[in-house]
Amino acid sequence: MRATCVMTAAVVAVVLGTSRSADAEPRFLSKQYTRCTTCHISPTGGGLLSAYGRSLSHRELSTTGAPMPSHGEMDPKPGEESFLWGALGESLGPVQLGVDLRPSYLHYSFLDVSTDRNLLMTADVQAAVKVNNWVFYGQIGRELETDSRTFQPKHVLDSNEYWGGYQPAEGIGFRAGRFLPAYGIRFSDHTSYNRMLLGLAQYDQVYAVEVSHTRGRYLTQVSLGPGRAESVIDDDGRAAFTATGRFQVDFGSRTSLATSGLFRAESDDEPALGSAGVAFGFAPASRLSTWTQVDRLFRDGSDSNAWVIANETSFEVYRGIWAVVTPQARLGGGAAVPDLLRFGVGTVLLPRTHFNVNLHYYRDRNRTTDITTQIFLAQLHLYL
Amino acid sequence: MPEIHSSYVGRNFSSGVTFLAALAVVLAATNASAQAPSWRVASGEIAVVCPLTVGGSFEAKTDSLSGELGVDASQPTKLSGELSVDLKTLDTGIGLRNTHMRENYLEVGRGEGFERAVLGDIVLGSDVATASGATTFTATLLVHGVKKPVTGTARITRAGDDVRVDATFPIRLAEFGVPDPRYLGVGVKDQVQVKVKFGSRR
Repeated sequence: MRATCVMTAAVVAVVLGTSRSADAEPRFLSKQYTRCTTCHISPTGGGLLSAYGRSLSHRELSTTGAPMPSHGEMDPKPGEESFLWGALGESLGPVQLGVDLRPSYLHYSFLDVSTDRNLLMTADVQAAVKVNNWVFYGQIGRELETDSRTFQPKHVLDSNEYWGGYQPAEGIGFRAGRFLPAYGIRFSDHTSYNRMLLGLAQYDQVYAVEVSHTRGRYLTQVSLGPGRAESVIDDDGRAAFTATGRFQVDFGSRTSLATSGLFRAESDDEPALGSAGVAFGFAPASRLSTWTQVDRLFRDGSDSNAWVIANETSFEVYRGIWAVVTPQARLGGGAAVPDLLRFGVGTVLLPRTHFNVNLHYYRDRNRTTDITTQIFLAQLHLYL
Repeated sequence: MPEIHSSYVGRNFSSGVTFLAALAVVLAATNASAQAPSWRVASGEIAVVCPLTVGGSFEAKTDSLSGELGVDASQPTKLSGELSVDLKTLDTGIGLRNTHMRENYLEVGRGEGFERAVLGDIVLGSDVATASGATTFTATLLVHGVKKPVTGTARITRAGDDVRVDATFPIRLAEFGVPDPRYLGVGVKDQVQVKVKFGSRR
């Protein structure tokens, strides 16, 4: 019985750690998109798509997307790319809505144990109101949790992201609420080492105030707040003042560099910790983009500060068919922090507007324990 | 010994002077022709950097650049001839953007003056024959049926008979009557940067 509980808990942990949520798509650097806000409402990417982002999925990214609009058709009527296929027409006004559903199949093997699961990883409703650069954003969805008493998985309704603020296209903006702070490059896979190992995974949103400044090819984002939102809510002893900073400069339409820093003060249960890093994106061709992020982690009281390196290289084989390779590593953390190596390959298929199929295989090796974990994830991603 | 008649001498002298003068003109012209940099575009590229209103930018590119430039005899800093580019070949890597850019903003379907962009009346900041390294220039640009002066910078690199030119200049779309580019909340700022690169052989 106990073994079953432990296995169930492990599977839940894997599920929590493998869903590809709220995709931000840095691979579209190859399409000359260096900023999240072209396609997403959130300035840190992911979540609700903007009208432009929806249109791009319909017109350009999906294999069987719509043909080009006719001459003069600058603001096409809501159609397949719109919320609920445009059934509501233009009745929503400044309100933008999205539904994110991800039925998934997961295969996981660890030592001599392997297991399969079919599950609905994500079922979210996202909404935003945007009026004269004032934006109010919220998300609510079904979350998978492990019951602390029975170790059984359970679903709860919760909201991970909600904020409001002034978000002009250029100049100074701000927002306050709960959100993932701006740091590095946000790969769509939140288990990427540059997200998960830096405390920027799926449920690592912070309560904070973010001030941003954008002008031309420069973007600066700074956030300050009481720390990780779940820790603040649960009072789990890990909530502490958290500050982040990110500075991005675009060297061209296909080359971008972002430097970032994160500091989390000492909490009841943890020493002060943080990270500093550089992310570099380069798209040498119209179908190829590669992002590499290197971070140095530090922890107060530790002599050995680990390095985290993550690369994601994507190639568009054919319109709407992407091949992805992602080598990642955490190294040099000393005896207390195991060296980890990951090799991931996958394909992202976009056969139809907002209908994506993600197939990914990860091989994670813990060099300290010499244990290898293999994960295969097949996910249908519906965005309505 | 034949007598040399003064009138004969005078006539011959006059003819000689005329001949020498004509020869000098021909030689001068030949020499000038040999030195005149006639630059026929062997290969080239135009890139228009379009900054977006939401941050970031995209480039519209084409290698459909043609033309020939020569020294203007009346002004050593001026290049005669012109460079032109087929705007129907401008490519941003995104079909929707291409369609909007070509049809809705550049309006290439409107015919003469809209299909091609033409850069002419180029005047360098230094003598054409010796220009090398960084320099400035002025020119006129015809695009969207509107001809306007432009000012920019150029880098000229010479290697034997080969000349490579990298020039850049800003233009304001509104000044050329191009409608404000905007689609579903994402637009292009008014000022875009034009980059011209070409290699030629004298």
